[in-house]
Amino acid sequence: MSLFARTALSLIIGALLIATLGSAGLRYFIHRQIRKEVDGQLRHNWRRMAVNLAQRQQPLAQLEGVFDTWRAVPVGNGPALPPTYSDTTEFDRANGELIPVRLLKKTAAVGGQRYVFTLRQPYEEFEEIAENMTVAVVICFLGFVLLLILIQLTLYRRIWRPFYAILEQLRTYQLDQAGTGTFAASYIREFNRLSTVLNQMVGSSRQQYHLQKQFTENAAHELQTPLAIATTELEQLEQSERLSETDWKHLDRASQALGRLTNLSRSLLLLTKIETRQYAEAEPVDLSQLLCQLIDTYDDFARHKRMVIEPTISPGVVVQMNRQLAEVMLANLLKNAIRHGQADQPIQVRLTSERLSFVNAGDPLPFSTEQLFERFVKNGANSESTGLGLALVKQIADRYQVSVAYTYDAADRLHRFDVNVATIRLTGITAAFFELKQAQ
Amino acid sequence: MKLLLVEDEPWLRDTIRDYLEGEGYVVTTADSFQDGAKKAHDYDYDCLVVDLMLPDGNGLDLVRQVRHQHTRSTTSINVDSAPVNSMPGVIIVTAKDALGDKLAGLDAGSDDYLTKPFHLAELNARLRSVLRRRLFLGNSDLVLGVLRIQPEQQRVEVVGPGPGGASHERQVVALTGKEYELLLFMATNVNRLLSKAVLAEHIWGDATDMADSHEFIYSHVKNLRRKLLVAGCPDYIRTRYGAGYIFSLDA
Repeated sequence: MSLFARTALSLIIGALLIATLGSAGLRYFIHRQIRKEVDGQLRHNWRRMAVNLAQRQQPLAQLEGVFDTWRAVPVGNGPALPPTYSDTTEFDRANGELIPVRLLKKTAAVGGQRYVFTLRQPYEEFEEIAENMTVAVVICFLGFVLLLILIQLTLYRRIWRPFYAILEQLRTYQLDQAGTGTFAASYIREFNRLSTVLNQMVGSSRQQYHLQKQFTENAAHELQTPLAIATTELEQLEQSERLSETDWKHLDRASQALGRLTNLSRSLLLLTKIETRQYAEAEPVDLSQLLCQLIDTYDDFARHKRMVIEPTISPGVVVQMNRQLAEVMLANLLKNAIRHGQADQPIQVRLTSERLSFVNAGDPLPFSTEQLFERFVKNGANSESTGLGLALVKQIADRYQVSVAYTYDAADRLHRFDVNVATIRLTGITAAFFELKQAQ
Repeated sequence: MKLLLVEDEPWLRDTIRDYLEGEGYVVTTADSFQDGAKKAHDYDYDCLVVDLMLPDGNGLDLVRQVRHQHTRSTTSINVDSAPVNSMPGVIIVTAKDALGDKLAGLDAGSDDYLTKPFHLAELNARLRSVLRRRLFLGNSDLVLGVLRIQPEQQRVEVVGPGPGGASHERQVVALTGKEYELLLFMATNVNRLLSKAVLAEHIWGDATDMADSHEFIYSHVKNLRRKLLVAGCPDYIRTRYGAGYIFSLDA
């Protein structure tokens, strides 16, 4: 739920509550006041009557007032009843409707005779006033509440703008881009504090990133330089005419070991760089095309090992990722399939818009499945492999939050790697546009 | 061919220079950005080999400077010879094998890119390729003995008395992509003992960490030799120590 929705919801629920209680309260209050006025009217009428009655010497001749405004019932002497108000409903024959009537019973003596007087006050008009007033007041009240809410919600955007600006900046934040700028100060204290803290965090993480980048660059240089020297010196030495065959074999082995060391250091550096979030640049990459190129490069090699690569590649599968990482991931998966496949068995490479899979035949793993993607875990028989190929694949997949699943079918003796590319796939307009550009 | 080699590591610089001079290049060396920039500015070279990680600057900036220098000066094209003041070829060398660097290098004006460590034979092959492209020189065909290689069309012919008996007959040799690459590589590194590792790295670059890649090279070279022999070419490719190959015109 968004902040706006939550705010609006709270306001509306609160408003509804207030509206309901308020309206009920107002209604009750208005009607109560009207009731009191009616009672007041009755008392008024009685006082006027009382003045009139006090002047009489004789008991009452008539026991009913004009228009039935009062009635009197003679009673004996006894304790005087206190004045009692009560409600009743009568049928008004003249207007053909039921009307509410308020009664006041009072004991009084007239000319020596005690009577119980009942004063009648129909108050249907008063009720109507009460109703109309209630409706009007409640409408105004609701209108007022609604207006208040609207003002609140309109101002909402203004008030929270710095916050949303910060959120937007966070969304587009890139670790390695110097130009993403700082978070703006604000005159609202809390947002200002947020900006300050974020600037500090960004500053320190950027610094750390640069330190790590610097480190890997220096490490690369320092590692590769002696390797380069050794490689070229050995290469020159191998040219000497004065070598015996065994001499040359020693040199050749040294060279090959150096080659393995070179590959190892390259792979480790690559892993480190991926881990420290370098390679941030992502672009549309046509996986279909890349995969075809790679299969082309390795086809000879697979054929030499008596394996046939069977590709089933849907064209135009474009994903958003770093190009070099895409190459490394695909190449490592393909190399892995070739390296561990079996002669005279096909290697199936399938690419759809959902999934990328590599299937090769082979004996079950000599280690547990969980270890497969760890570093330096490899089939002992294969001493030339660095053991980092799948670790790199996993690292790259993790970086893009793409799943890589390994399964082994014991019945058919098939190893299978599935990469879910659907999550990073470019679809719709973006993909179409990219394909158009490619075709040009 | 005049080369400028900009490399700060002294041993590497010496060995590369000795090798390139042995291959017939005229080599000037520079050991820093400043030194390299000065020499590139003062003299003309056919190709530059620049290490990007220099102590006093980034090799890419040097490449950019050189390019800037050569686009500013007017290029007058003589009909008879190569254009004067034309931009030299550039190969950048770096330890950071990042695609970003590669693209930045191409943007800055470099022709090719090599990752350290590399084999000298590989450097030579790249240099020849860049020079072929840069200095058209009429035809860039490689003629070695009876072999005639046309890199533009990736075409290999054996010239000489063919199976038909007539002299100067041209017999095209049908080679696979990888066989052609191998032949071209060996032909540009004549009389040099090339180990299987060097050949494998040329074919696959970074991808050579595979078992059996040597066996693969072995069988490919075998096929290559067979095809050449069948086309009437003498056995220029010889095996040495049972593990290395040498392309030599000596019988």
